Amino acid sequence: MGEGDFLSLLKNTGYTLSPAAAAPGAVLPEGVVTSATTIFAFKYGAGVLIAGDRRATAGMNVMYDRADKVIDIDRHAVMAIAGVPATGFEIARVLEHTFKYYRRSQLQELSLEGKVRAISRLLKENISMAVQGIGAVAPIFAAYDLAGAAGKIYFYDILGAQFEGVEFATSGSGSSAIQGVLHFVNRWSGHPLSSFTEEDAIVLALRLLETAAEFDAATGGVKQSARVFPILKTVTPEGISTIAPERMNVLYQARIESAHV
Amino acid sequence: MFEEPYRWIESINNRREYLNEQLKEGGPVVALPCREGILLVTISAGTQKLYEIYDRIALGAMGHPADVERLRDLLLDAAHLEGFNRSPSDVTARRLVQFGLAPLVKQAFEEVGRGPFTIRLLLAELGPDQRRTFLSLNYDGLFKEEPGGALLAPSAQSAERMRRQMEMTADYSGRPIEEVFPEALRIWAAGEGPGENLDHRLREVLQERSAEVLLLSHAFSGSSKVRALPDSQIRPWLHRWRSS
Repeated sequence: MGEGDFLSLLKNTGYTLSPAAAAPGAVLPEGVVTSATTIFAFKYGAGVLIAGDRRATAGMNVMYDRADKVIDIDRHAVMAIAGVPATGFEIARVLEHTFKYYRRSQLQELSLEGKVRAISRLLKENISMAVQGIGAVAPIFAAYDLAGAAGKIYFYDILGAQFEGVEFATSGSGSSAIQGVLHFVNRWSGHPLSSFTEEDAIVLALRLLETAAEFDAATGGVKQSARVFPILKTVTPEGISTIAPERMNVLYQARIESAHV
Repeated sequence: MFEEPYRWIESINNRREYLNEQLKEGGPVVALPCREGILLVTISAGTQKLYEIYDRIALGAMGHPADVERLRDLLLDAAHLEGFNRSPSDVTARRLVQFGLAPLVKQAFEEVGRGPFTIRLLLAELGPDQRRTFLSLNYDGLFKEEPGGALLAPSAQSAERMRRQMEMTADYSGRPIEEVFPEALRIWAAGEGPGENLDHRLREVLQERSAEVLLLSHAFSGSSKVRALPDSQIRPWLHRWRSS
């Protein structure tokens, strides 16, 4: 009986996610590996909003300012990647095919628990690269659980441990600058995140990324003049929706750029 | 045992006769273009006959369920490995059939010491440019591209009746799914048995069974453009045969 396991199928053809470990003590020169960013997700009224900054850096160099680190995995699941893009994108590609292959071969959706563990399994396969400092990824996974009728957020360490973010999760080098803000807003602002409308959630996400960019050189934030906006997606019972840059531009102008406290 | 050529030919003929006999009880499958994309329709007695293979490719099958399952597995593996290693746009129905399925099915048919695949299959593909491709594959490995739609029939006579019924409408591709669906069911009914009153046959069959419907459409969000239509969507379309 086919088990619907795409990774095993791939391995049968000689594929490995993570190459064999390098020689002990081998290190790459500083500034070669692309990494760092800010990603986060939080639950709002209609589901989950997940956000990713666009900047990719290698050491002190800004390699790219339009990286797309929030990737659709299936109809109700999205992954944001912080860390080394080469590994993160590969994990996302394997996951997308894993979920599709399971659904098509087994004639049913993989359970949310199964999806969450599939990411852990891939991160564990990548441990040799992660501990050498050349392939570490700490993703956030956001999904809408149709069975439980609730948005879900999971975050991972680079070794594959999974944790559920009850209200929000942050990752990447800029995350420490915004984690406290999210806690503060949720606890004492008088408007818990779960009461946010989609528009309020978008505005909060843009403000958080600008805050992260203020304190973290590896986060680009919003560059309105160059029309570089972060990637924001919502995950709701209806599926995944990508927030258009035009909408972010209008909201940024009205509620961030022109808002003075 | 088969050193003499005529014995081999005889055994192949016997095998063809056996397979035709086995497939005579199978249920027809219809794949037609429609304005939204491609519509696949059948009425089955319980076993699923329509499957999603890849982002823009669907499979219709008749025959022994275990054989269908073996070939479906093969298609899924080939499609997903190709889509992962190259690109989803490199996965095409023609490549899957011509280089993957057809040689394997032909080999099984001609190796008289082994069991053949008791199947007839069709693949429907919705191209990125809305181009529609239909391919059919017989149990002997013979495959062909079918312009305008593909049909699976239990016998040559059924196939002829279905083809005639299909040709009664000139162009399906410009018509909405609500209009193409009843036509597809009438084509199915023509394949199910002889007789002129196709609606009467559908009234009888649909009292106890329901239609299985797959739609390929670029209107669907996400990378996969294949969806099984839920009962709630199909039910109103079946009303005309169930109400009287």
